[in-house]
Amino acid sequence: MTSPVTLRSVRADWLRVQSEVAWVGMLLAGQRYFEALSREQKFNPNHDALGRFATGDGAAGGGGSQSREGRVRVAQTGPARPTGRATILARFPGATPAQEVRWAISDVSARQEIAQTEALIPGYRPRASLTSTIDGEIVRNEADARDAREARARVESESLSGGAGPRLGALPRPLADICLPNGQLIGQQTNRAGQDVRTVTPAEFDQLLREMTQGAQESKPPPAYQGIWYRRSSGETVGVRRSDDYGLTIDIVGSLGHPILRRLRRIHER
Amino acid sequence: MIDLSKKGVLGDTVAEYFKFLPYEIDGDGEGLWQIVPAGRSFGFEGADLAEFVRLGVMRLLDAGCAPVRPASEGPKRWIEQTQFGSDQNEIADAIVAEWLAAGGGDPPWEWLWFVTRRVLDSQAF
Repeated sequence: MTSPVTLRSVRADWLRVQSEVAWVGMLLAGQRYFEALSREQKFNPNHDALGRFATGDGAAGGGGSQSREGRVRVAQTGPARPTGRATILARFPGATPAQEVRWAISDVSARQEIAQTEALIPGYRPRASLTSTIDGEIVRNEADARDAREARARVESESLSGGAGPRLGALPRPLADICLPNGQLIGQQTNRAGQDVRTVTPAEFDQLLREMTQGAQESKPPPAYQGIWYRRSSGETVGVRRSDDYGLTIDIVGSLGHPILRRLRRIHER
Repeated sequence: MIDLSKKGVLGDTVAEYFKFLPYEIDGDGEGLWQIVPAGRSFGFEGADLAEFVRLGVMRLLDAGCAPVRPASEGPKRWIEQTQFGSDQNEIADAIVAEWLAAGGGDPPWEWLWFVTRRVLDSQAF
C-alpha cells in the first residue's frame, strides 16, 4: 500500500514538472511574440486607425515634415514587412507548393496595396499581428491588403480629385497586355532556354504574380501539378508552381489560342 | 519535310526551338501539351504539324528522355509509359499516332511528358 507521504511527494513532483513545462511553453510563446514584433512594425499607441501618427512626437506640430495634403510625413523605420520568398520555406519547411504559391501571391498583393496606400496616406502602417503558421501568414497578408485598400478608399472618397496610384476596382488586364507590353515579350531569354522561356527580375515577377492572379478564380490542377491554377476573368489560365530548380514559376496553361502566348511556356524569376 | 529555318512569332526558327526544347528535362520535364501549340504557332497544321510533333519527340528521346505521365499520388511523381515500344523511332511514331487518334488537338497538361531517367527514378510526388 502506498503511504500518504509518498503520494504527496509524487504529486509534488508532478506539479513541478507541469510547472516547468508551462514555463518553457511561456518562454517559447514569448520568443515567438518578440520575433513577430521584430518582423512587423512595432505597435504604436500613437497611431490612429489608419496607422498614422495621431498623437505624440510625430503628430502635427511635432516637427514632422508636411505633405502636400498637410498631413505629417513620418520617417520610415525599416521594411514594414518581412522580405523574400526564400525565407518562407525556411520558416515553414513543411509548406506545400500550393501554400507557398498562395503565400507568395498574398504577400505581393499586400505589399502593393500597402505601398499604394502609403503613397496616399503618409505614415500608413499595417497593423501588427502574430502568426505562427503559413496559413496564418496568408490570412494576415490578405487582411493587410484589405485594410490598405479600405483605408485608401476612405481617403479617396473624401477627396474630389481622387488618389494616387491605380484606381481602385480597375479591371484585370488581358494576359496579352501583361505579357506583351508594347508588343514585346516580357523578360529575357537565358542562355540555356529558348525564346519561349522568359526570365524576369524579382520585381517584375511580383508584378506578374499580382496582375495575372488579380480577380482570378483558383481552379484545381491535376494532382501532380506542384502549385495552383488560376482562371482569369478574361478566360486564360495561368499556373503558379514551385519548381525544384527555379523556385516559383509561372506557366501559361491556357492562352485561348493567342498566336504568341501559346508559344510562351513558362516564366522564371531571376 | 518541314522547313527547319522557318521563323516563328518569337523570331526564332524551328531548328532553334528544337535545340532548346530539352532544357528542363532533368528537372521540371517537358510536356506534349506545349509542343503541339508551339508547332501551330509556327504555322504548321495537318501532316506538317504531325511531323513537327514527331521531330520534337525524337529530340527529347535523343536527349535521354523517357515518356511518362504524371502520377496522381505518391511516392513517385512520374510513371514511365512503356507501351510505346523500345526503339526511339517506334516510340515517336506510337506517340504521334496516339495523339492523332485522340483528335490531334492541343493535349491537356497531364497527357504525356518527358523526363530523364534520373528524374523518373528520383523525383518524389
